[in-house]
Amino acid sequence: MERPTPTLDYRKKNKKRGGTSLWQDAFRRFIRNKYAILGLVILTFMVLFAFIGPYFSPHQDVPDVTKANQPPSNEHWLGTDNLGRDVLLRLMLAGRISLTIGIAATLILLLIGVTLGSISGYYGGWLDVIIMRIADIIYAMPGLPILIVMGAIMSDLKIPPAHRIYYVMFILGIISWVGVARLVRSQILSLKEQEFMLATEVLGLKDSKKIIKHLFPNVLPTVIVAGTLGVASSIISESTLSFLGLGVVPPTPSWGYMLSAANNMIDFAKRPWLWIPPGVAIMLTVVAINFIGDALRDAFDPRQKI
Amino acid sequence: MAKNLVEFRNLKTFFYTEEGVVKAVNDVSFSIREGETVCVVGESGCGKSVTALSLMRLIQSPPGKIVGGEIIFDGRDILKLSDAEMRRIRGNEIGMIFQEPMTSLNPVLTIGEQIMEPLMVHKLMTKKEAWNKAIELIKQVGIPRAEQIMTSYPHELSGGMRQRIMIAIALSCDPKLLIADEPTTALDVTIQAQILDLLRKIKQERNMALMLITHDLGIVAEIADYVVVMYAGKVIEEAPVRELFKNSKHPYTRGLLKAKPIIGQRQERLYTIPGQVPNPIGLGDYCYFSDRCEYAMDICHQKIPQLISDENGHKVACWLYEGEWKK
Amino acid sequence: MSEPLIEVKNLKKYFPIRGGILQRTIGYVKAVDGVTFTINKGETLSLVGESGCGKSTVGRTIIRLYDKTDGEVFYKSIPIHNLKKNELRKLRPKMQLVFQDPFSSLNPRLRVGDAIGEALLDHGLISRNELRDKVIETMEICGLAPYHVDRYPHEFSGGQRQRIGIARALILDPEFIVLDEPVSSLDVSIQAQIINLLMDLQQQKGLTYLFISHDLSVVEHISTRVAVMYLGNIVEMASRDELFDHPLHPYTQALLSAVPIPDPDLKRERIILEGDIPSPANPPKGCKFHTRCPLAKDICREQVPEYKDVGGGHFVACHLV
Repeated sequence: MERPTPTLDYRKKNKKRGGTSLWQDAFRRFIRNKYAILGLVILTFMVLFAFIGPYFSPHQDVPDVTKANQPPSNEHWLGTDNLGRDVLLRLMLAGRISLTIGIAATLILLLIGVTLGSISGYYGGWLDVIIMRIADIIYAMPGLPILIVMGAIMSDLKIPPAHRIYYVMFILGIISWVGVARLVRSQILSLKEQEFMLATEVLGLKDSKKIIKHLFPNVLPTVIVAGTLGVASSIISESTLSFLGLGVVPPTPSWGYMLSAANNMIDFAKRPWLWIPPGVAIMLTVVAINFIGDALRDAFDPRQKI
Repeated sequence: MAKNLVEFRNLKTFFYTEEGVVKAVNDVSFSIREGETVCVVGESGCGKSVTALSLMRLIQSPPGKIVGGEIIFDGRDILKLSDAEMRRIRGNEIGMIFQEPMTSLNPVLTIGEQIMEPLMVHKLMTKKEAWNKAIELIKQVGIPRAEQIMTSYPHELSGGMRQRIMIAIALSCDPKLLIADEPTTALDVTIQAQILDLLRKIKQERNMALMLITHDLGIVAEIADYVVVMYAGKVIEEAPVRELFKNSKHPYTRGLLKAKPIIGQRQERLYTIPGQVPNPIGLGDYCYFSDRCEYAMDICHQKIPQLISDENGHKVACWLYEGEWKK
Repeated sequence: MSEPLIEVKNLKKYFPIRGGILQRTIGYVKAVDGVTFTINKGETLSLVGESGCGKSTVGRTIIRLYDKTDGEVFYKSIPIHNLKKNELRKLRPKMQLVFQDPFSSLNPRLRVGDAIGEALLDHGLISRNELRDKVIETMEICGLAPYHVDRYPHEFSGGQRQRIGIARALILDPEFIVLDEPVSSLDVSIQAQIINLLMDLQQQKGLTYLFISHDLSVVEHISTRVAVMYLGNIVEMASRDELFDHPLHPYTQALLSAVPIPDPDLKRERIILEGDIPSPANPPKGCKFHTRCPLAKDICREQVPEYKDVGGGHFVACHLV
């Protein structure tokens, strides 16, 4: 049978189809997704707003009771709070804390969750039993009481307010890895049933290659989704903690703490400038991260068009 | 000659997908007579299942839509009936069984409940009557210990048993037509033989018409009275079973018959049809088999051949026969 | 007679059934319950049987995808199941497997060219510069076009994916390939293409196949010798012509008569077996086939029949032969 002579083009890397790796393809798909770009723009803006913004503020983050509870004006664009501090400046400073906690807690929970979930799913056996039983125990414990106890311990040990943020990140990471670990484990278990994982054994691939090229790229979408949800829920958990006085303590601001102004009937009804801005900030950040997460998940799926 | 029970007239069922329009069933016409077994045969994606689902009006919409044609069942146009009238026909006048007997039974209901339900709904039987009728049906499909089976759950039965139960449910309201969509594909050969035997037996006892959808020409030869061959959404050949096997016309049908290894006939090399089934999206106006056909002529790449008939009623859609046979 | 490439001696593979919260073993599925056979160099041995008969497990255990429960497997006199992990890895390229399901056997996130070439690179059998040429060459041998190299699996049809699976095995220059139902999920017209490809490759490269299938008509076409399995045991084994012309075991006879033949005029004496295949977790005593055997006698219910040579390399396990 006569076979077509191969065209030289395909002997080299195909320019049009781009590079060789899934990562390069994923990048190309990602930047063509307009929601991804929108999400990136919003998130970049929030980061700049929080970390660079305060340097451009004419105000200092110090109380001035003479200016308490002023509505938005030319001098104070978003008004002042009950101690006369500029709300816009505090919103920026709070953003530093909330974004740091949200992202750091998520990284911690992903690190623990993905590691334990992978071990559990990949190796199975008694390791799996132990890890999953620990996960069950943590899952069965009510989260809020633990946080209250931890908060009380921190107060008791007289941990300085500046350091408490790190502990909060850590605690949030510790108590929320369970969901991720379970997701990753079930994903890996179902992947192990796929014949292409068995094929890697037939081909005699090294373990490292099996994991990096075959297992990991297929678990990645799950991790990304869990991660984006994690950032959002960590920001919200932090606000719960702060509201209970267990997380970040005044005068350090966080979006969650600022939002808790809405719990005061008078502030809620008469001074919307106190709670609308942090609410909008949380919403924008969470939506932006979700856009990015969705786009990442699609970007790593070769079935999506480039 | 028995009268027509089902007539497909220029049926068109399209699926509107993101990539484009899939003409799954593209201008299909054929009929099934009372008490006759018609096999619709073709490879995956040829539209054989969609044809059957169109008859049951079970096309999921969107993305699917029946965009044209008529399906006359027992004198009525199925496509013009109201949903309520259609529900009365489904399961009552037309029964259907599927390829995967595991997923077509509800795992949380007992077998008894699932057989009795249509009897109580369509035939308005009391619970007691339905129970007795169900036991009778289970015995008819060749399962011993009927009482015990009535209280079992689907997972407690084997694949072959589940397919028998599906047949019992389909038969419960004495349908005039039974549609069987690849009923034995998921089963082992020895179980397949049992099920085919059963289908042949009940068809004879009840003088019911059977529309059997399959990709296996062996099954066709065993059970069919009349055969319809489909390719890429079109009927390309139809004939009574002996005529089709002894005197096939269309190059695709001939290729299929030659490509399948047959027990007892050892050959050096299998005949192959080159290439593969065309992408169903964006097919133009030409014979869809022309790219794979060794007899293809210029006209085959330019115009769609129409189904033409010879004096014995053997129909084929191929330009090779255009001159010899009259339209 | 040519030399044996694979020797399997009394191979057993039991899968534990686990239950309870502590996942303790509460029983065993005896998927393979003592099979013995050899595969000669350059031949195709087919394993046929119905679902649950253990044919796929045999295929996977003899290349040590699964660890054995008991028995021995030799590849060129090397006891496969005694090798250390890295020794086994070195031997892997020589023994390949082509899977049944062309959809789940390819990583959806790996380009076809990478999927075919990665093992060669991983074993250090080729330099990165030469890899692409070698991959394209192998793809062409398997009937794939060179421009397919940068595509992802979802862009291919079932038949083409199966070609990719074959190319992935072939590029390693194996001696022995387990073909685990390689054509049963394909359409007839594609099936013939793949069978011809497999037979061509065998001729060109002197490959040895273990062909696992439930489709007797394909088996008759492709095999040198055939072994029929039922519930974890080989019940009959003979050369292709001998087995199809003179089947001795009642199960083989029933299996052969159950295959539909595309000829409406052919009226055959059909042996229709009663009942279902028993569960391999709880197989019948005596001859495992006695519950469905139309000829079963008392002895069949009590004694396990001996697997014996009835002459000319025709083995059968039945009291009535």
